[in-house]
Amino acid sequence: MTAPLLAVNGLTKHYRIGERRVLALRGIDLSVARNEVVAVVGESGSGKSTLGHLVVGMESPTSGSIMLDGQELPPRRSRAQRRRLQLVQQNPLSALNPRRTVYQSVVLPLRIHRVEPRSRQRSRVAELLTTVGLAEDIMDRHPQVLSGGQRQRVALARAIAGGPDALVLDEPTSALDVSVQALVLELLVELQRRLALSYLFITHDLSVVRVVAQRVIVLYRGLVIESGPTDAVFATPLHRFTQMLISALPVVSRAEQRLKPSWPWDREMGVGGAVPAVGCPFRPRCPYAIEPCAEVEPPLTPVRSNHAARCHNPGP
Amino acid sequence: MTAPILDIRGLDLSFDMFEGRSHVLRQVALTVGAGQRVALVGESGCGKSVLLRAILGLLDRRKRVMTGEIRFDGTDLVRERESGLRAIRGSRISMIFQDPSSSLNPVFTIADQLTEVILRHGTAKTTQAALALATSALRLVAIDEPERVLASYPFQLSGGMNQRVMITMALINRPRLVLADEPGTALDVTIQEQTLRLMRRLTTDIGAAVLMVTHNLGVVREFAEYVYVMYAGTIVEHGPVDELLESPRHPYTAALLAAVPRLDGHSLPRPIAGTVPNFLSPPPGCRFQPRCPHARPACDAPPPMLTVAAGHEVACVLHAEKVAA
Repeated sequence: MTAPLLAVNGLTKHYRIGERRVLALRGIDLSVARNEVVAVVGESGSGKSTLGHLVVGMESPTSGSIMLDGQELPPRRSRAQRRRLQLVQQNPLSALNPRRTVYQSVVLPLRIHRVEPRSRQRSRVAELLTTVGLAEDIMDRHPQVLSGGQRQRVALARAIAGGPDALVLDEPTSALDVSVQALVLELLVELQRRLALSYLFITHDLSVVRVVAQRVIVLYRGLVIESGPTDAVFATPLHRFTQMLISALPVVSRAEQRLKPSWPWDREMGVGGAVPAVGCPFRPRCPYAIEPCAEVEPPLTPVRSNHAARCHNPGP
Repeated sequence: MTAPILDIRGLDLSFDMFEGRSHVLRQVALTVGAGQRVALVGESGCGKSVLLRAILGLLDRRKRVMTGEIRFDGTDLVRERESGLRAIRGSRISMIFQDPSSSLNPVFTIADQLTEVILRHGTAKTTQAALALATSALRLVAIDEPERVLASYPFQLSGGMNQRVMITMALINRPRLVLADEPGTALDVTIQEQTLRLMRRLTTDIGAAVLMVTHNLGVVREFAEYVYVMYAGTIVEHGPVDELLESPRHPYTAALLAAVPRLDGHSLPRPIAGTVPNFLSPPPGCRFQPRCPHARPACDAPPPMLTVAAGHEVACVLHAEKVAA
């Protein structure tokens, strides 16, 4: 078997806040093949954005490795290595420099990575904007006067400008209205096929990735608690947290309502709080917790082919 | 239906700006029954949040041009004086904002902010009584350690916790009507679900009606009994939630529904082609017609509000044609 495009092994990240040490990520393993879309799902505080930052090299891991095409990426990456992995952030208004025009923002990666001679840069920017469905005449505008959907397209044009192999998409649609979200999703799928890209798609909303991602990885407080093919995770979520996550999705029809796992919402559990030092991190919020959950952290256990979960009392 | 607590009729709202007059709301009619949960759904910029501000009297009186009626419990809020509105706001009508961390005051503790709301409207007379009330109210929103929360500043609490504090603040004076602006959309889906359930239970307990604005039809289905669909400042369709979602009649409602990511099927959500019109020169007649796949010459006239079924109405000429055929 050939090496996956992107492989993350035992990735761990600590932050120091004063005296305290915060474990943002613990021993994350994942891989993304060429042309594959892998979703990383979790709540705020699960470490999903930290994971994205580590993958694109914005931050360095405490331990563990990130491999691109079988080669380990060093803490300080070369320009060529940086070109191959690009990040698209959640809020395009804060990701785009307000003092730069659309042209200035999109041309920057062309200059940094020297992918086009100077004479061709303007026409290349125009091409990139057309690729993401924008008219060329917005080139000299500033991001403030664009709509949310247009801004996210500009951010995408900038991300693909250097010709990357993979994009890390950090909540690319959650700042948008449903109608605009649909537009951006459509564009993401089209770009992925047309440019043969791989995506690491980070989101808190599972419904967004259901028809986009081939595999799903669920994070809870810095730990992979479930991973599997998207269809399997939706049809038979193993971990109780994944069940809660799917059950929480607001749906618009009775047919969908029936597909959601049942969840005892009326049993008030904690709204978060500290992660217990031993045992399962989800235990304080889990109505199905049994004795071992307080004592031993469950290992990631494969249940079906490629579908694994970290739960002592998986269901249903 | 029970007697309406909120009855909006023929509401037109425009703002005078440098560029000209911006016609935001046109002939909005909306009714909320006592104790009823009603949703107002539409995209950002459709005027739904402005409507909430109009109800609360929070729009700048020098810039707004407002005609029509907003009847709340017998009082017309369009004509009510500022002093009268001040007495109503926070006691008989209260508001839950989208983002709790930016709506709570960062330099006061939760105790300060909760007791102020209680004392201002005379729900309790002494600070001590107000604190006792705040403590028991926080227990009702499933906060286990109310004392710790009361002593905290908003930044020391999680988003979900702040949202619960906001809900407590909005309900503590037992209002007749709660206005909610996309509560929980800034939060995780799990916290959003818990927030919606909590709001449903608590408003039912005190018999308060809710008017919630949202862009998410899923949230509408989870929370509301009745829904109004707004497009570019006009109500295009309204009806009981289940019926409207199962058989939408307005092309805009159908398009909005198709844009929601689904848990069944294998297709991507479908975007709505085109963009929201400019309020300075909105299209004549039906404001959705430039984006509508069924647009026809008849759409240049203001569409009539037609009855589909009991309590379900649609502002679209398509329906008139169907009935005639």
